[in-house]
Amino acid sequence: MSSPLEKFILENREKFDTDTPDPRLWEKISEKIDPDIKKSKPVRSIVFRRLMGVAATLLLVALTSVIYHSMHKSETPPTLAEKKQSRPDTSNNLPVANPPVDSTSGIAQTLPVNKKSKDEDAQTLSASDSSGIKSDNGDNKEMYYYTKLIELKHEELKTLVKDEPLLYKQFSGDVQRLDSVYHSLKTQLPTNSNREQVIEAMISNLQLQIGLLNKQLDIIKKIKHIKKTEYEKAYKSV
Amino acid sequence: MLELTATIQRDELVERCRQGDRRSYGELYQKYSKAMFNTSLRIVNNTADAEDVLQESFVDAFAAIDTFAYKSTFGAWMKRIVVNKSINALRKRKMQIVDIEKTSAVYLPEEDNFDEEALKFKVEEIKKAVKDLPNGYRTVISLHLFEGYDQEEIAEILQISHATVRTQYMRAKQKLLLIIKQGGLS
Repeated sequence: MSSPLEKFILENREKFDTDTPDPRLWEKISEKIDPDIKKSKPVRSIVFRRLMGVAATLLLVALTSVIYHSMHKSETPPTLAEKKQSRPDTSNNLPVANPPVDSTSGIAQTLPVNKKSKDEDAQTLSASDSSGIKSDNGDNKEMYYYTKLIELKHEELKTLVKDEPLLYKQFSGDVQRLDSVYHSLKTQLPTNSNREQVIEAMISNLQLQIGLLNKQLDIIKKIKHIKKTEYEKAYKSV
Repeated sequence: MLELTATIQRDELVERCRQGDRRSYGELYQKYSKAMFNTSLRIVNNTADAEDVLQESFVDAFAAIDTFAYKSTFGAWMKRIVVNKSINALRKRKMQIVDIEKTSAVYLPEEDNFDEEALKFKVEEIKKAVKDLPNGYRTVISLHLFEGYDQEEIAEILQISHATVRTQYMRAKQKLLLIIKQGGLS
């Protein structure tokens, strides 16, 4: 490296690198390396898949029980009667003893405004039940309460659109499937002879919707937490 | 060489990529893409091919980032991938690197030395002259003059003998100087 040409190039080496590649090239590369990145991130993908698995299982359980309810109308009167009897006793809890009840009372705790209205609802419910009149009206109130709660949860879920549009699509799809069952039950209501049966199914459907929404919001919370810790980890080392 | 190996520091960016940090892959690309692109462009002499080489090189390098063992800097490791892929791209275009004599139209007596001192070099003129070189000469010039590989390394990269590298380099340099001189006169 002693001749003038060699010396000149060595001294001006940086000035020779003037060309730049197409800026879109990175997009192509990042698309291709994506699976590798996922492979090297087992923690996140396993957690994510497990959470999605929970949501899927919950949806399956929900749908099966709704279908069960609507198909075995004639076989269920005894259980229905039991439920009705137990209502006045559970003045402060939700009237129907189904698994999602736990999660709904959970929401109520996180939303104090709703707890109040829930208590009021439960009181009016028990009052109307014990007097033995207008039980339909009580059911309507119960349904109104649940639909309101679902609306609130939907609003909360909508904040997801921006950050995780794909996940939101899946989640809202799951809830919509339950909701469509609810609406088909609603159309059955005026014509169906076993009115109470249909109302019961509708209520448990709404409860399932709330349970599902709760699980979904939990998942989102967990994902956000994972993202946050990852972000912090990445920037600590800078 | 062994002592040199010991002095190579852990590259934070590379380590973060190994942990799967997506952002770091992008940063690594930003850091090296331009230099790598120019290295490839000097060899393949064609923007589209150089971009293909760049894309393939980064995809391969990221996929094999766990195998990078700090025997050199990450930049040197990456450059070797780019150089190999560029030479393969040239060969695919069926331009044999060893067929230098056939592509060389100008007769160059080996003893004929230009008065290099008299030439005033300009970056742009040299760049243009390199582009005008036949593929084989251009490759040898690129690897030695621009990428700093020694003759032994070039012999290994191109799979030719040391003696061939030496004579090819001398002729390539003469030709380059001739083009520069002619460019300067016209």
